[in-house]
Amino acid sequence: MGDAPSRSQLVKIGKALAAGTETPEQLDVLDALLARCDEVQARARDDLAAALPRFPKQSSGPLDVRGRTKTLTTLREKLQRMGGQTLPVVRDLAGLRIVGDLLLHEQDELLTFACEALGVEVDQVRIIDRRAEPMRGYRALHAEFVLDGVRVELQIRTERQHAWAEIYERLGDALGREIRYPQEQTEPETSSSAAQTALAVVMIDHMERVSRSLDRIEQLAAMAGRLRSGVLRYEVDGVSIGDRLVRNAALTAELYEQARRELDALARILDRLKQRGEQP
Amino acid sequence: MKSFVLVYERPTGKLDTMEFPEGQRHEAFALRSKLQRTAGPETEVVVFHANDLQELRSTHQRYFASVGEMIAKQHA
Repeated sequence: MGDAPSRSQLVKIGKALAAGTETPEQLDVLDALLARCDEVQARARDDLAAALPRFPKQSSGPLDVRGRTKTLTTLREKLQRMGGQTLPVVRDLAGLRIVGDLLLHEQDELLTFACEALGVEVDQVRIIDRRAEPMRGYRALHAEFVLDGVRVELQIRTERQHAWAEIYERLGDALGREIRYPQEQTEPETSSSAAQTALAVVMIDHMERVSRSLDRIEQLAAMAGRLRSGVLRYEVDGVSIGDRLVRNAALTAELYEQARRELDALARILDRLKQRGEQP
Repeated sequence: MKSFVLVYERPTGKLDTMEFPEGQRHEAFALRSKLQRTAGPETEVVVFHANDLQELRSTHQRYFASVGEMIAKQHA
């Protein structure tokens, strides 16, 4: 494999990709870079897969780890949003994702565990907590670091966060991925596209409300886990731990019901669109 | 693990998959590189690694199911 491309070379390629004017030679350079990213994420994935069974957590369910290298399509879109000159600092050319039945605090602990398993110093990691600051309802814990000279993004998701993200991404595929980045919309709207946008906003609102319910469910699950393990002692106004757990379970059931209603409303919109022969 | 090249059209959800046996990771990546040069702006060409396609259906539902199907699965 040849030398890594220089920063100025990457800036030029990034600008060309954003403008759709890239040459075959520039794509060759990019392919070599992405192949290098693929090697690094594949090794990291294998290292994580070997280490994860040692991660202590309350649930006995397995942790799934996957790697992926950014596609040309999504890279081009990102460069169009961020400016082509940002190619040298795109942080998720190589991506890793761990999904599992995790409590919220276990998600944090897993991030530290995974970085250690990869030999990455935690103080060299940039953490982006999308649970504290969700993006259009997207919740997860992200870490960014450099591994063998490649920028890597590690996503750690609970099963609920992952299921939500999968639905949201599929919705974005069907409605147009700009729903994920609404501030980027620049084209003037026709009445038909305005109606589509309005419908998309309604659907996204449903998804955001589902996300808020899931957030509260996960906070209650974390509290219940701490109460059961004795880490948290919570006896307020004469409410025993047992009673607190019962109330916790009832509230969780109510929140699931709220999330279900939101998804049902979304499904009804989709059914109407389908009957009219429209996507999604 | 086997490698899978997925050619996925976002608006319609149309999906083509190509499977590579274990040890042909580089070949799968090379095919991805080739295909994505001619892919349309709404087509993703992506490589995943898994023991079988069924596993990918579970971990990357977005490529295999409609929103309605994914919601129905959550209700199940």
